[in-house]
Amino acid sequence: MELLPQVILDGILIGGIYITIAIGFSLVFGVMHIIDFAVGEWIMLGAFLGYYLNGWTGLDPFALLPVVFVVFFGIGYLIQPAIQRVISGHRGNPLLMGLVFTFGIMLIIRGLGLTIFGFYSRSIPSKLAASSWLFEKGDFFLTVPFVRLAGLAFAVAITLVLHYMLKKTDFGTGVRALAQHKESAGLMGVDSHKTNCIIYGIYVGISAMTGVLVCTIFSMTPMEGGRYTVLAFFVVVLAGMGYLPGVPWAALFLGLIQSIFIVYLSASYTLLAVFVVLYIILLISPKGLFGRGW
Amino acid sequence: MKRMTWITLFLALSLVTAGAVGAEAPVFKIGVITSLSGGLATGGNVTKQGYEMWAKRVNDAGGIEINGKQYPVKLIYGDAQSEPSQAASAAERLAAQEKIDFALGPYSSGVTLAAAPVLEKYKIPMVTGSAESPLIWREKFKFTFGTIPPVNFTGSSALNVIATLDPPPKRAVVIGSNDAFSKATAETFRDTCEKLKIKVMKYDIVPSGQDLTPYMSAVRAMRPDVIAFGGHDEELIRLVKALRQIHYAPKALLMHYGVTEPAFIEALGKDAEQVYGASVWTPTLKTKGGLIWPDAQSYAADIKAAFGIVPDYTMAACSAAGLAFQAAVMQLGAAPPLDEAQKLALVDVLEKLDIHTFYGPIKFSHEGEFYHANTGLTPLAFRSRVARPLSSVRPTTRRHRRSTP
Amino acid sequence: MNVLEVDNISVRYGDIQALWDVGFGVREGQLVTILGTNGAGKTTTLKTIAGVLQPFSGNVRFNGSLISGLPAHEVADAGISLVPEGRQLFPQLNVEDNLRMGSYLKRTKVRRDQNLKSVYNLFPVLAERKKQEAQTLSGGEQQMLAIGRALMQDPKLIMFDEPSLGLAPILVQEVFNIIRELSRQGRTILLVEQNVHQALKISDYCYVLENGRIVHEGTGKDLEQDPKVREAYLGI
Ligand SMILES: Nc1ncnc2c1ncn2[C@@H]1O[C@H](COP(=O)(O)OP(=O)(O)OP(=O)(O)O)[C@@H](O)[C@H]1O
Ligand SMILES: [Mg+2]
Repeated sequence: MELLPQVILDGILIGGIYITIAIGFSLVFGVMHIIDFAVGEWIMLGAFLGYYLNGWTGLDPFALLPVVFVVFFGIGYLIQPAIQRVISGHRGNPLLMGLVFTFGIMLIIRGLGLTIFGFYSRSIPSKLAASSWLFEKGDFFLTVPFVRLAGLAFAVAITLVLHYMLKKTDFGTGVRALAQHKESAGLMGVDSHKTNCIIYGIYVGISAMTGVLVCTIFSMTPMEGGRYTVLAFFVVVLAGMGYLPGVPWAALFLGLIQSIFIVYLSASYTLLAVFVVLYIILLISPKGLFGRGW
Repeated sequence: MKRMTWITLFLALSLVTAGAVGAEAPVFKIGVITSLSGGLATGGNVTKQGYEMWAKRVNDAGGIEINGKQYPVKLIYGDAQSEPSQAASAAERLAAQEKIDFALGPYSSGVTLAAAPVLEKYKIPMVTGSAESPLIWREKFKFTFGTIPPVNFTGSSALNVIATLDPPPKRAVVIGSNDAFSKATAETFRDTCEKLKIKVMKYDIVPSGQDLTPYMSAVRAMRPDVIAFGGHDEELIRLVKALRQIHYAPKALLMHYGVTEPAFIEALGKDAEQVYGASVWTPTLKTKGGLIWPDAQSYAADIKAAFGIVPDYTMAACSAAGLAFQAAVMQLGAAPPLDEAQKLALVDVLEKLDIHTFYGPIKFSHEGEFYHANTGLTPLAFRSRVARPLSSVRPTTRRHRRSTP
Repeated sequence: MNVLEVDNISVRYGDIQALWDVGFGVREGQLVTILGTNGAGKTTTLKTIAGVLQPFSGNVRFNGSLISGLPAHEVADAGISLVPEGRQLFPQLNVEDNLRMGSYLKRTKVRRDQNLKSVYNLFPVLAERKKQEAQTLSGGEQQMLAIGRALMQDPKLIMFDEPSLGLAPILVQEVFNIIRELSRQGRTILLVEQNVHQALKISDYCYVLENGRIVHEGTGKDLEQDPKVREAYLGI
């Protein structure tokens, strides 16, 4: 029982990482109905940019986040029109076309990643990674790893910034309008092309920053993107496809059950258990935890 | 007359070209079945570099000398794509279409288990420089050999060293990643602990890629003396980072082979310090070789010049697999292409092989649970000590001692 | 001088052609109505003017400059608003955010507070329901919101696509009163209606669309007297 506080804390900290993995992904699905198979690859690329920047400048990875964001915002902004073209073709199912296209992007990035970065696993050093708070009293103890706490703070910050942008700015209202009714948004003067590019840029930028975070907390190889794509799917499906406010809660929920299962039940079947829980929830509420997804 | 000159010239030219084609010297066609793509591409490419290095050195010297004539080797790749099924079809293609004389084996045990039966069917001998799962040798494939001893042969060595620490460790937690090799490693750790009277408090096989921090928090509450982990480098790095983040250092952290891999040390930097591991080869090992490389250092220098990296034991074992073939076929005295009888004879020679290389002795066991695995080596135990910054590619010197066999 | 000049536009959806050489004009301050049965091409006409659809031949000019070929958001910026058929609100935005979307453009943002006040004056019910999601409004309230949203755009030309559709008779009357009032204020209006009686009464000039072609035109009075129109559209 003395483990419980630690278990809950660890769950929340894992959940924080899941938030950043999934939030941009959910945003993009909500606004333009693209399921981006390459989400893990953006994370991977961001991790490597962070790794090399850290090597060249010696700056702490957290200080590099803005640079990584700007670079990948640009990439996302430039690449979006290609995706839009594919999904707005008049034939076929746009959702499926998007899936297939981004699957292709994923394969290309992964292949290039392997060629350019090599096969080895990289990890970004951070001063924060070696320190933690430790409370200990008899059998009771609680460790708070700084680097993960920073990760959670980052996740909360991203969530708040996105929330502010979407709810309090005209641009954000335009984005929500675009998501709800594309044609009417156009009539109101929303340039859907440009807005899509910006949103996609924000998403790629957030994902890349997540990569830096993940590479600091864990490690990264060019083949590893798929793992994060799966996680992003899990969280977003649980939150309800495209229902952004559900993402932080779904992410924390997933982190918590994972942490509880791994300690109190079996470490061997944690992922299976997470999957079963997800399945049951979707059975009861097919539109996610809050019943507000697609 | 002018026309005649032209025609003669043309005829002469075609004769020369035809002659050149006809006179092309026979080569040893060697199939390399390994994962160049997919999840195991990291390891797969390590094996590829090892095989390539050997082939390059052989061909630089003009080839393998058989009865006074030189025959070069030609590597033909079959990408196993990290999938057993793809490994089988790659083996099938190499055997049936390319008509290879001989095969060099895949990275990872699962893939090897799929390729071996196909080569068995075509009666093509294979030496692999990577498979480490005991499962392979239990299958007793007649045509499959391996230069790395299985984990159950080597894995116990590091624990034996740890058992001599003062005070001696009493309690251990053993974790294994969920794949054939890692599971076997974890099993070996568990069994050896029991043999050494170290109590195994917790034993778990965990799916790869999982965040182990909560698990480690729980482990810490149990206060074990030893944490032993069987897994590939990726998971090892994550585990060490997780421990570091929760500020927990067990007396001994044991992680099989990964510890000596340059990638591991590069990725972890200072974190790799307290880690124990076992290995069969390092670039600083004292060895004496007959073929190509006289010792481990010269091999390491060669790899460094060719690929800019420090070879790990897998790469060395792969180059050594090539050496094993080279030695065997020289003893046999058979020129390419090898017919079926010669391939069978080659298996006999391999079984009796007893050579010394830069990698250490190669001597394949021909019975029991290590059937066709190289049991000529003495496993080493390591303590990883690194003081280099992270950006450095070079691992620095490590103290290592011979374990009690 | 025509503010809006539709010059022989032809439009198709994929392989299906919906408009054939449709041409007409709207003068400054006029209220012009397009009549037509279901599927005649009325909505297609308005959407083409609004830039949602593009003609494959012909063009549209607004205040003398070419607007066909421009995307919807640029047409909106030029000063044309559409109150679309079936309201097409942003269902999960609240009433105020729907209205604010009307002044998304820089051109209109500066007058946002002023316009909001006058829309709330015109439709007090919207002021009461400011924070309510648009999808929870009644049909009539939704129509008010759709009109209010268009007014927020400070349009030089406002187009209504069957604003009375699906409303109770009292509300139909109210909608027409509003349109008449807007017209009286001097606004230029292009109205599409199937409620021919009401529409003819308030419009200055009418066009009748049939199977994607304009077949009649004239003042409201003229058409009311036209026997063919009477038979086909007034059921007399
Ligand atoms: N998206 C579409 N794809 C294909 N055909 C369409 C599409 N929209 C409209 N049409 C066709 O174009 C023609 C004109 O349609 P439109 O919507 O303009 O008619 P309308 O006059 O507005 O009818 P209503 O009074 O029913 O609203 C119709 O035959 C219709 O079937
Ligand atoms: Mg219509």
